[in-house]
Amino acid sequence: MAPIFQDVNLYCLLPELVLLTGAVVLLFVRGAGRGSAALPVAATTVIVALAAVPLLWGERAVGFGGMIVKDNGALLAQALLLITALVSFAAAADALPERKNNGEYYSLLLFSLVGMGIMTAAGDLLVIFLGMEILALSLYVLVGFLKVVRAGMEGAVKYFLLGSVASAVFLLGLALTYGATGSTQLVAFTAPATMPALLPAAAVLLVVGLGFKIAAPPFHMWAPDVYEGAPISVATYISVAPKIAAFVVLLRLAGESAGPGREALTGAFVFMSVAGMAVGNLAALRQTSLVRMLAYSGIAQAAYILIGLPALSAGGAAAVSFYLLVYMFMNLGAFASLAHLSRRRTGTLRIDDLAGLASRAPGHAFALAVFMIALTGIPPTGGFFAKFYVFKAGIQAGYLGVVLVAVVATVVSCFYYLRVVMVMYGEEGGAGLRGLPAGVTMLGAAIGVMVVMTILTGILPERFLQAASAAFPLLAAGM
Amino acid sequence: METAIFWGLSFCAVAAALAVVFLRQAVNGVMSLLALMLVMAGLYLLLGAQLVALFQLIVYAGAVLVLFVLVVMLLNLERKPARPLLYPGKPAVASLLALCGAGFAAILRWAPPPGGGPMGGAVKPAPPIEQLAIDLFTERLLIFELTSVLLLAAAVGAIVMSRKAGDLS
Repeated sequence: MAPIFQDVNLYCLLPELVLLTGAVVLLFVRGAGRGSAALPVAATTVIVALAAVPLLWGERAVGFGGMIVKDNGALLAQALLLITALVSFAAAADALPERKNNGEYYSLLLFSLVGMGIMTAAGDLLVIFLGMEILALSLYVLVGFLKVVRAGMEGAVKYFLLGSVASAVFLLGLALTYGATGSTQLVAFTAPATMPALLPAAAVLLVVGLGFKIAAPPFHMWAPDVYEGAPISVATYISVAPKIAAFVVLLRLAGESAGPGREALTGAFVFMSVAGMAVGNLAALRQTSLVRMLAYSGIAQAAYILIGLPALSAGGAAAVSFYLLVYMFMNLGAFASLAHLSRRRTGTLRIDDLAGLASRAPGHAFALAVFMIALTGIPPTGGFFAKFYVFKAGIQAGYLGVVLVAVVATVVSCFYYLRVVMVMYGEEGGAGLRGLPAGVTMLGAAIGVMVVMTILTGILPERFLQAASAAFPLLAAGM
Repeated sequence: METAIFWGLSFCAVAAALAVVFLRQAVNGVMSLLALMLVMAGLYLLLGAQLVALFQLIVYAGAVLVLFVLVVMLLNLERKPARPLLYPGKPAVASLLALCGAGFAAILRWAPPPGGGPMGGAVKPAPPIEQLAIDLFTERLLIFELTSVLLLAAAVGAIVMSRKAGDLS
């Protein structure tokens, strides 16, 4: 009578298994400096996992009794996450000390990729929670990885304390969901609940836990300190990867919800969106540190993306995933450009330090300018169409007020984004920063690709939008 | 009878939790936490979850709390001059918490659980341990395995964090 679980479908976890193997192997990699095998092993693992994505594409592999649903949306998110990791690897070569053995750094990064892969593919709230915890625990340590940097340790402790509270709140929401529906499965959100009054509270608590990950106000306090204290390669990664994963979970949550739970979710999204646009943009205006400015800009960008979530019926899912794609290119590019500039600096990189960069390193300055223009949302970059599609979905779904706030916020954001461009091109002096060395470097190649993709998504937006809506067919069809 | 025990234990739990937050001596806080753990075990027993209650006693009260006490001893905290219990901001936090509590109470008031009692009906008989194990390794296999990944990541992180800053290997 031995009961054997019939649905052990390891195939649907293929990318995660590859990453997990790599993470364990990296723990045994010895050696430091240029001769270290850590970076090649980590990069190879990520590329192999990336190769598994087209293998699974279109199959909608379901495993473990519906706990893992590796549909195209999950795979698209996974591809974005793996690309993010590769770019952060390129930045890590500059950010990490050379004489140290960095095996654990890459190992923890791969662990966090495993966690996010599970989050994006989960059909069960408990699995989402475990994925979030795997992600969070790895990130706490990565933020404080350079223990000699005091700001890094401070950021790590703040991130850890606030993150633990957010996880606990998410868990409480999970418990209430279980109490209301008798199941932890995501699909249970649509089922008639035995205690429907609990569902709104449950939905809001779940969103609080996820809102922390995307740094949406009022759960954004950690972001600037963590970005500034963390090694720049980790900041690059944190500013993009967890947001992609959390937004995919939010998309699923919003798509599965119905009735009172849905109304509570919509209210929470609208509140976080408006608050994020106000807080992010106004605080970014006052920053002198580049990384802090980008941290607040990230809060504002997440708030723009949030507009698409209540507008699922008007193609919000495709708009959100398109925005995530473009956000990945422009934000990764911006942080990667800073990675080289801020290397071997003890203090923070201020915006004024960039003065005269255009004459010393024209290519580098051009790349940074493209990313800033894209983040503002000016055509012909992808940033314009990303905002355009999200705003369009918002208006069609009847959230005109939120979109109006977003338009005003965008105008405000011109000031701080374009100031970077003005300082680079219009002023002389500065801190004598050097651009990337001549010749092909990994970081240079990564920045180049990001520039091309940022512009390409602005020239052929329909192509990318169609691909994005194909990834979320159920949500795009209109719930 | 069960209802009376439930309310008694709940009251003790809230009181102990408040004591953890408000007591100024670290040792007193830890001891209040211990009381909280024991009360929680009692609540689990009341729900018919003997195994969970047992684990609560062994793992939390037995192992985790001992660690806490040890750390408090190692830190060798000095007796600090008493600071006022109400620092600015605390009233705001307290009122926010009260609001949350009132919200939950309202939700429970509007939607009484099907059974009517505070525990949602009759106490179910505890499933035998065998059934628990079967559940864990069949239906919830993935969750079980993911927990091991989580622990592995945590272990790696703990080693990275506890290594000395100057240690290169």
